[in-house]
Amino acid sequence: MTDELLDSFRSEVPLPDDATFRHAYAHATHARRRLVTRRRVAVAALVAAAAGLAGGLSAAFVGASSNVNPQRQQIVNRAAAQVRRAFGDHRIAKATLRGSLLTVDVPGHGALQSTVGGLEGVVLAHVAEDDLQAAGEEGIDNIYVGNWGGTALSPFPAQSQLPTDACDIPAGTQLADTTSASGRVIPLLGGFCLFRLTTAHPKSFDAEAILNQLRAAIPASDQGGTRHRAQIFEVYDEKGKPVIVVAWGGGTNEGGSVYIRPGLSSPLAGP
Amino acid sequence: MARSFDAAFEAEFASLHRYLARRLGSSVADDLAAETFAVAFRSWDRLDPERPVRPWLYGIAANLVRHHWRKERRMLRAYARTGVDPVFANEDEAVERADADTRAQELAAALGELRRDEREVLLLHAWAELPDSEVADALGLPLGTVKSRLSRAREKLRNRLTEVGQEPVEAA
Repeated sequence: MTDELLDSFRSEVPLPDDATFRHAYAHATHARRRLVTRRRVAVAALVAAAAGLAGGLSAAFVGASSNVNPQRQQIVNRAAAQVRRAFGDHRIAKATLRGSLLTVDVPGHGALQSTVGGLEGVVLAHVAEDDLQAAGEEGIDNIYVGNWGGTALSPFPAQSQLPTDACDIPAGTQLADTTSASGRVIPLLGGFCLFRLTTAHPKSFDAEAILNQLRAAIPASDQGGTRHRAQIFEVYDEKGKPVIVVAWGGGTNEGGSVYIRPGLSSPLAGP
Repeated sequence: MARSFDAAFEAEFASLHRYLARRLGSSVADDLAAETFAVAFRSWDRLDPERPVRPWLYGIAANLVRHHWRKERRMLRAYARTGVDPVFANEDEAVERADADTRAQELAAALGELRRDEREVLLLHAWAELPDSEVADALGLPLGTVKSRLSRAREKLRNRLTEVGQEPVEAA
């Protein structure tokens, strides 16, 4: 019986132990305390600025946050700048490395913030991890990216560098319901493709079919093996508003995220 | 009477964690269950006192699971292909489980082939044991949509399992 089989499937998964229980409770309630503290710091900083004392006090705050190592943070800041340049945006507002936890602040909840912004945070973690290791520093164990949540940072498989024209869509490629299409390489983590399409027919746009057409037009081998690389697929309507956005972490193993405009069917639910 | 976060945590954490562990393994479940309650804690004061807590929590968890749907599908497909369930990959008995239950492998394959939204509804119903109305509440969907997705998901499983020689089952 299907229902019985489903009931028994993985039913032997154990319940969480006491340590997990305590850790989760501490995580949940600590998050609130940290928010309150930040708010207080912000208020204090504003007051200090009004009094003309901001410089001295902000230096004191930096000194007080002893688990932020300035040298390691500088490496993260450089990596964040590199990611912003590569993507050509400023979705990452801030990235802070405390011990081995990297927190990436991607403010906002729009279609692109919650998908591409999240992926940018994951990419930043891997770039910063490489840079930290190259500098002989301890790496990053966990990341917390706004909109994507927290996870352990998995090892990223080494990739050969993708040529800069690897994601160009060959001239003459016809994509159904598509009025314009372009592809470019984001030159991080060995390089991966970002495709941007415009459609005049958002409601009938078959994203899965178009993705398959793109993959056929640009063979996976030319893209360096799409399964192991991140990939971004953005579809806009003619007013420039997002219709479908797919941001996949590929070999980063941190999953992916999909935005589908409310009211549309979800053609990418089971590719 | 005002509901307490601590009481909700005490009552729901273990079952939520187990639900997530069945979907993505204990390690991911540790993070997602903790984050679910962190989100709940931050929003606790704004929770409508009339709204049941359980579906609300599973709705938060569903939003977090959404970011792992490809991983979940990969794990199901790997189990179907190899007979070794990645959910138990860190446990000693993982290898012993190999080939232990081909029906479970077929079910893994069938679950992996479901659309993400169908799998979500089906597993909230089957593993989180939420009634249809609470699944609808958790996912912010009309009740009719939940019922039709559930029905479609069950039919797909039934057809898939029948194809590979399982006995036919009656409609739920």
